[in-house]
Amino acid sequence: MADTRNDWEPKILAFLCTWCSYAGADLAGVSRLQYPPNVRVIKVPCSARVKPLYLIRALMEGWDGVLVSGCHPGDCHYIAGNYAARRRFTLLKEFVEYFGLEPGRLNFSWVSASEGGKYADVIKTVVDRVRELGPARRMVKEYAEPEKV
Amino acid sequence: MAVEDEIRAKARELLASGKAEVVVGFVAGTVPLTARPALIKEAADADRLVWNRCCTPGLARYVLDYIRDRRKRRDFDAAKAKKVAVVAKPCDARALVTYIQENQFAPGDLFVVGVHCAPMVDRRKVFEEVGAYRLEEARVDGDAIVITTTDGGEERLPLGDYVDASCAVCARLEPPLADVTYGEAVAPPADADPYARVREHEARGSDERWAWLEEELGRCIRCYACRQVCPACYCEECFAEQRNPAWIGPATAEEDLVAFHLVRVFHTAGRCVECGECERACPMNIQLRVLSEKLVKDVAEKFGYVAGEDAEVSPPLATYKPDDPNEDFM
Ligand code: SF4
Ligand code: SF4
Ligand code: FES
Repeated sequence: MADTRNDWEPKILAFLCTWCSYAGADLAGVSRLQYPPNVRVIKVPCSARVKPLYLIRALMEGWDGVLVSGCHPGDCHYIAGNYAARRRFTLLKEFVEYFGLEPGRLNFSWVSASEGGKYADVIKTVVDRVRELGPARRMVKEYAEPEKV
Repeated sequence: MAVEDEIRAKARELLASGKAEVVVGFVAGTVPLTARPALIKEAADADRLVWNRCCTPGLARYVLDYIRDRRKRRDFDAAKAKKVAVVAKPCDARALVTYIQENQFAPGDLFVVGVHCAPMVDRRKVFEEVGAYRLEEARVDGDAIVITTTDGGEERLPLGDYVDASCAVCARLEPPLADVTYGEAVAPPADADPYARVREHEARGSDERWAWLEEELGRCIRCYACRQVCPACYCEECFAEQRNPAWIGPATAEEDLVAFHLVRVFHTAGRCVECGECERACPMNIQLRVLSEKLVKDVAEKFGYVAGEDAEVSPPLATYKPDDPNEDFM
């Protein structure tokens, strides 16, 4: 696919809650739904498991966009993890944009285990958004070789 | 009675009666226009306590550190422990409230000598005006700062022009936690906008915001003074110094500086009591409150919460409402 340096493709890191969005991604797969292959997934036990520090570090490592996806409000396996996460990420998103990071680098969604189609749509939306923004520049740190992503 | 005398009398009484084992307060500083935090343990030392318009440092952290250290002592007996008394401005009292919310100690561990706030002097502004090395002595006299210079001259500066930036817009004049309260509150001008600098930064475009940040935070030397003085920053191990995993680098690469401040300030969300200590402590004059005040504003607007007002309610990031804002979520 990408065979010249100008063919930049966005790299998206997604933190998916194992009880819902991860299963939703699975369903998208077994349903053979098409979505952009730009996303790499880290499975987490709950959206509330994701520390802001993880997202900041992902930006520093040069991911062009980051996604956190959990169970719909009210459906968290741990009752209220996603409610706590929602408050945290509502503030964080606004705060990183206040710092000057482009809106669209950090993304959040609710995708249930039965929403394979929604998962594919979310990934399409995020990839389009980030493609529009171009490669990550702000916050990206040059790490010494072994740590480079 | 002057507030200072009332504080001294109360301290003497608390220590002499054995009700408190220590009074955390201020003694005279060695540099003009400063006051120094001190732990007073003997009734005879109570007269060393001072109260004036230079008592800017926050005392809540001294209380927390004292209680934490005391608990670690081998002979410490919680049942017999006496109270820790503290002279508290409204922002100190707010920080004490957050400690109670965060289960660092119980209200019964404290005796709070509350003081109604009158805006503090920003000594850096005075030093700049007069020249730090020309300054022999300084005192506050009513609405003026009276300066004695090294050549024996005397100058009077209008106090209103040298008020600390945080105090100048602070409308929280009443300590939310106090066993006794002294003094009279002096309200800020009615049009004072605590979020003025935040609004200014919000109005900038994304590129401009980033450029401003590079310029401000780019000066940071990672001395950690802002973290050390912050009443909300009391983790025993800070993410900035963790080396396994090493979240951020230890030096002053731009990305590490941005990440340090982003995460440091984010950790104060719903906990910052707007004391302004971070900005006062910074040797590089970085406008840190432009960052922390943004979260204060967002927490108030999005979750209707003000830090340090009520020890009974849960901090905003430890609770939720089903109808919290949801528009950022796909
Ligand atoms: S962030 Fe600054 S203003 Fe807020 S509590 Fe900490 S030191 Fe005080
Ligand atoms: S006090 Fe100032 S220079 Fe020191 S770490 Fe904080 S921002 Fe950086
Ligand atoms: S378990 Fe899915 S968000 Fe909490």
